[in-house]
Amino acid sequence: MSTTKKIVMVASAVALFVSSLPAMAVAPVSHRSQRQKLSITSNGLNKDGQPIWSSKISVPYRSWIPVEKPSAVLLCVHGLGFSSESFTEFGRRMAGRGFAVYAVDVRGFGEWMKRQGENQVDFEACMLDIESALRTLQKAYPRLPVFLVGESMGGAIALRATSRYPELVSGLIAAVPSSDRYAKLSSELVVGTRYLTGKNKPMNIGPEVMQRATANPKLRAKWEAEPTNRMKMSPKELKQFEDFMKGNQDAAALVANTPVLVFAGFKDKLVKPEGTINLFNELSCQDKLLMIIGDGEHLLLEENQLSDMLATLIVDWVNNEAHSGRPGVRAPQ
Amino acid sequence: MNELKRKYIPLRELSILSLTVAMSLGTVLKVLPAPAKPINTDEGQAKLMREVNAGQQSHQLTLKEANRLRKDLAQVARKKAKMLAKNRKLSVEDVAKLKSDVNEISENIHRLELEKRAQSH
Repeated sequence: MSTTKKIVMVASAVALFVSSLPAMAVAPVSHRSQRQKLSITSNGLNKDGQPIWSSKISVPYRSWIPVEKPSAVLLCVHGLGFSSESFTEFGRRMAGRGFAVYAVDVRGFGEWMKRQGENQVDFEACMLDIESALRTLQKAYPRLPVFLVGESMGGAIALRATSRYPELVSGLIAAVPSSDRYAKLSSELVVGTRYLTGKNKPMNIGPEVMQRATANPKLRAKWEAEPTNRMKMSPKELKQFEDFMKGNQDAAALVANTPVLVFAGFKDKLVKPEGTINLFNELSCQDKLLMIIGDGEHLLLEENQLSDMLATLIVDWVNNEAHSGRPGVRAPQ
Repeated sequence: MNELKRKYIPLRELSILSLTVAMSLGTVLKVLPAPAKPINTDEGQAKLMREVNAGQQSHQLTLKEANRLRKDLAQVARKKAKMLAKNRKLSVEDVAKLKSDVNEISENIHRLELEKRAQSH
């Protein structure tokens, strides 16, 4: 082939490509401007050493940030009666594996208990808190996937948030999110009766919940002694909790494209593993994984209950999903 | 020499012709709009979920109405999952049914929001 012919052919190809460029639908990318505004440091801390989103959001939270640039962000939601404190060990270990970990207090728990007028359980307000947190984290870490992590009630909240804001969640990890409890009818009857006699009068659910959740007396004692835990709730709040948990099946059906990892403890005496399996079946997404932990009780992630095996599994799953290139999952760079 | 010339001239003409064709094709593509995206019921459902969330936040939908609409969206998702489980992919009829359901929910959202606006005036 002559040189002239080669040049002309290359020119033709270039002309064709350049001419057709504007016809292609290309989404605008605005990452550069966001980064300039936020001036993010490599380890997710601002100039004052605070997490970069600390000044942007009023939801109480705790964070565990790795020294090196994180590969993904985990936003954790605690179970009934606990606070973000319950994720301390989980946060430390996951930060050690390269993830930026944040845990929020659900309305009515943790730091919220000290706030006048906001110290009651409010799931709708909690959903807005989670949405706000997800948006802030996305802005703060524009190139990183954000995963929601929740256990028990926190798992149900995380599931609900994923169904409502799928564009903000790269993946969901839910441990025992089901509402299918053992002795559900009797506890509902007790709550119903108390509701009629005084719906705002607090009742202590601690002894029954702790007895069913774990056979470990040390864990029960720690659970009871922790000042940030709250086991006294009014029948009105417990009814709101029941009503919220009833929406789990619909929320699961609405999760269509987000990858999901679900856990259940085989020795859980509080929430039936079958309930979690049913919820897993209800998930519309194809990319879902269910793990039944043979010696697992109710708590698998919180209160220092994370086993080495489970930690490794979570790290591998998150890293795998983060690099999957799936639509909606932003690959770390 | 004459033989070479005979070979060279058609080649140059061919090159000019290909360049002209390429440039005119580029111009045509520039004028034509970008190809429309294929219809995706997932996108429709996601859009409606965003509308329900926004409606609830702006108080154009009550909590009860928003939850009812989310329940309807969940029913569509279940219907779609059943269709996929049956035939592994959606038929044209399946897509039409799902689109009809999604449109109905969309109409309900707008009707409820309009009612709220009318009440507030």
